[in-house]
Amino acid sequence: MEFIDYYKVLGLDKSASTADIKKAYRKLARKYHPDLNPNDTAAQQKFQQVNEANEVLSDPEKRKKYDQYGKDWQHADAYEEARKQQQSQGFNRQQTYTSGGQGFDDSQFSDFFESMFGGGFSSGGRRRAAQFKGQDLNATLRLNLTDVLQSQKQTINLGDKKIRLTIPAGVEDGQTIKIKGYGGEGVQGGPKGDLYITFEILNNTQFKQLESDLYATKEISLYTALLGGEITVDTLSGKVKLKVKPETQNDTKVKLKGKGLPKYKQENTFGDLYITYKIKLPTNLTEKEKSLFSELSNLR
Amino acid sequence: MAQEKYILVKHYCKVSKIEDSFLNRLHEFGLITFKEQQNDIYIDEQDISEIERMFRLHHDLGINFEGLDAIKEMLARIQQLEEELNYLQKKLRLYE
Repeated sequence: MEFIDYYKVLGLDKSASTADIKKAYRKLARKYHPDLNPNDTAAQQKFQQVNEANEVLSDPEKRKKYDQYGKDWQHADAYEEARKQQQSQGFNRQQTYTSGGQGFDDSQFSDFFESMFGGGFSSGGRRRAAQFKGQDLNATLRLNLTDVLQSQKQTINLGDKKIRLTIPAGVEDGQTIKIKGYGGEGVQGGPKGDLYITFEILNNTQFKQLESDLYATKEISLYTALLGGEITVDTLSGKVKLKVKPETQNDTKVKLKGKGLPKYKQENTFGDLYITYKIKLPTNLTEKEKSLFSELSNLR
Repeated sequence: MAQEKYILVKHYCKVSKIEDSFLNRLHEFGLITFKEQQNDIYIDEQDISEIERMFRLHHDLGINFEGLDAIKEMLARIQQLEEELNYLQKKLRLYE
């Protein structure tokens, strides 16, 4: 287990008074409280550390042990016990510390410690008797954009548990769904927390996307733009033929109704696909073409 | 249409071990709504997460009821702004 410098956690030095500790704890607890920092796991971890630091440093007895034994403070009582036992057996103290696991192992020390202090700390929960719902858990599920075209079943592993999940078609990037009762264990017999799954949708298509609408650009020739014609465009459900009106301007936008993404929880309802025409001017003109374009320009 | 579920305040306080005076204060400050029926008082099941959050803030950080009201408003505003930011970021990608 890594040593935690509780003074550093609270931004204090070893000479800090009880009032300094209380003040620093209150300030940091307000800053990192999970209810004020939803979905911020870093803040939640920091809050736990701050609580733990306060539990130790605000209790004169624990603080004394922590100061005396430093990183081994949790084993202080076990060491004391070991020292007494070994003294009675005629061993010297130095041998006890260096002999490592011969007489005791760390797990025994830990159990011993927990039995003395009544288990681990619980984010200040010991101060109150109220029952609470367990911690809500957050997970991210990555999908391709093409995966959301239809509802699909997926199994996700959550520790040793497997959860079968039906993902509705049209689920959006950043959208979160709640699965009731799959979070952490309740506090003091309270109900289990919930599992929140946030979807991260990777766009693996040529289209740009905003909600259920798709966007694309299509190059058309100068002649098709001027005289009209028929072109073929790609959609998520295959190729579609499209008529281009004569005298179509650059950046003209056309809507292909219902060719976008399915709308979340709205059966058989789809967004639209917007195509923006980009007119491609001919290059490397021949002499004849130049002469014809000159003739055309003189007509205007 | 979402089905509304109501829980008897007496029952909730017994199970959760949260004092009914705390719920009464929340109600006084307009932070939760009571539903009265045949002399019994109920709370909406949807409000439970919010009640527990306010209870933690009150007990862990010593925030009074005026403060809880302000925090509730500000968290709602942050959520709204985050949603707006998310939408605008997506919209910006259309022009990249």
